[in-house]
Amino acid sequence: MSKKMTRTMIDTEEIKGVSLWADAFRRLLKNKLAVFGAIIIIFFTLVAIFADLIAPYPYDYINFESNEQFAKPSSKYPFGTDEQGRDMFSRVIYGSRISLSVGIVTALVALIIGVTYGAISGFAPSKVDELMMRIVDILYGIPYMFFVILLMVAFGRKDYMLFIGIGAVSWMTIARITRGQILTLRNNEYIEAAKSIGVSKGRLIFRHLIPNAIGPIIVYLTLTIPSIMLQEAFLSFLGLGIQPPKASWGSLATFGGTLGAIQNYPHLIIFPGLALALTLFGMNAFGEGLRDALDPSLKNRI
Amino acid sequence: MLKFIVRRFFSSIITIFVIITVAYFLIRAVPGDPFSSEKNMPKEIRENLNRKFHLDQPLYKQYFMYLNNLVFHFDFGPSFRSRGFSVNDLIKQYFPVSLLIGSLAMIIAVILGVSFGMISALNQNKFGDYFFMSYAILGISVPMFVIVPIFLLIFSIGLKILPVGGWKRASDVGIIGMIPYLIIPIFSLSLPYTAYITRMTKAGMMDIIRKDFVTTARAKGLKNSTILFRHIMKGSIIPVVSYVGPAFAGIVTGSVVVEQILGIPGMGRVFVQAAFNRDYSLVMGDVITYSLLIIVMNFVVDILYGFLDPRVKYS
Repeated sequence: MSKKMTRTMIDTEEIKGVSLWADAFRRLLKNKLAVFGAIIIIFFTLVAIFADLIAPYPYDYINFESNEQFAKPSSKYPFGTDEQGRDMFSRVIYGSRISLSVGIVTALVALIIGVTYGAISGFAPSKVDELMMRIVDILYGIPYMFFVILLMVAFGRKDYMLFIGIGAVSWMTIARITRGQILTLRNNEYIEAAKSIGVSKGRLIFRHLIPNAIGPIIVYLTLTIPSIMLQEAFLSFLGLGIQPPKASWGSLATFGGTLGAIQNYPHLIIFPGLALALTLFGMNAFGEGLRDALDPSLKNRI
Repeated sequence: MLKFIVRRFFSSIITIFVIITVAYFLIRAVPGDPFSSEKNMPKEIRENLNRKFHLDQPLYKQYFMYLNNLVFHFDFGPSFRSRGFSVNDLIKQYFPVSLLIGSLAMIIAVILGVSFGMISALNQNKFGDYFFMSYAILGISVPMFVIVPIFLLIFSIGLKILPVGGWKRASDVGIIGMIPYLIIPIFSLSLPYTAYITRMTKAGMMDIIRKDFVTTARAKGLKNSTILFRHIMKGSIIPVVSYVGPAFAGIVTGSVVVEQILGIPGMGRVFVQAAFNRDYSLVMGDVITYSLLIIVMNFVVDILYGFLDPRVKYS
């Protein structure tokens, strides 16, 4: 060992230790795109929380006094009005509530299923593990979006079916990541130590393994939320998701997404569409920034 | 290698079987039958229809009958809604349209994505890099039902250089005449996948540029273009190949929205209509056709991947 290196080591010891998360946070703040993404997320979250205070009208308010269908954007209706004369500005504001909550709740459903399945698989004997992963492989081959459509048709277009349907098809990647993490962690010495003092299997998984495997899972989760929101928007746009008069950004675009409406009333699709695109951009930018920050060696990878 | 192909083949078969079974019982769990919306139908006619479509038989018998017809005769049965048409007829009519749009979109996505990714990697931290990397995040964030109207607003309604949606058959207007109708669907469909492939190519190139064999090639005094195309490109394209399978599945799903908005008579549009109409047999036929397509695609890609990347060990 050279002199220089020894000195570096001593120097390092004098510096105050930084935790993994604090270090990641510092790197995250340096990433302009990620910070921009975080600002967008905070903005739309606040809009969703305070929708009642911001929106000039209730989301289902129709002004029967005057006939104001398809009004162009104006100072009275900044985003114009829809086919029923409802204020699009208010509807886009309330839409943020449903779009964001579908994304978050469904991602949590996917997280719970995925982590449990992946952890059990990673911890089970290799025969069981192999079988469980084979099942995931087979499920992966299924064009699941069509199954979610079938599910929505079969069981009525209920909001909770949307959570279950999309959640039930989004857990598989989380399961794979969790399993991978567990497999690398399970041979660590502290696991041996825990085993040797007779810690139960359940406690071992949930107290020791999962907390240590959580980094990549959180990163994937932040990237799952926008992809789930995109799927909800896809279904709602086709008329199979959120049902009127309730509004998500996807369902708001349904009427505006016809050829006639695009030609005559482009504001019907532009405003909800941009709100959704901006939010998803923010989430993707933030999620990727978070990934780079937590594990710089993964930078530039998919 | 052979062992891998055989095993992969069997797992594909199981996947298809699972798909058929789940789809069959799921769609039969739908309350109401295909004729329930026709309220004034006399009881006798309904019973006759039920008998004709074997709906009066026990469910498991219907299932085995369906499976039998499908596996041994490639017969999806009659459509419950478009009377007089078999599902096979309908699929034969609509599927080529979707397949044409989908494959062209895939080709465009690969060509543009690989080029953008290379430009990005070669101009690291310069304008081109930032431009394409922003595009890469934007591309996966903008939903298809926003991309298509934006294209329409710019090129059809604003500049008036492309038709506002619609579709013409090659038999009516010739292949050249079809092109204006193809541009918007193809480019909107390929946009998100171009974005993904751009990122993958860039990531792959960044990895390989630093490898020793590239330094060696430079040291030998090879031309930059030779190094790029002979040494770097090959390695960086391999991950893209593995992505073609999943991308194809996504393009197929995306084409539902594109066809719906632009009024293109393809499988996606038919699928949504069939789902709304509870046309059991047509929905089943669509799901199975899509699944087959995606599974075959994944199968081919996996094998191709092995040929391209000798490091991949099939175990």
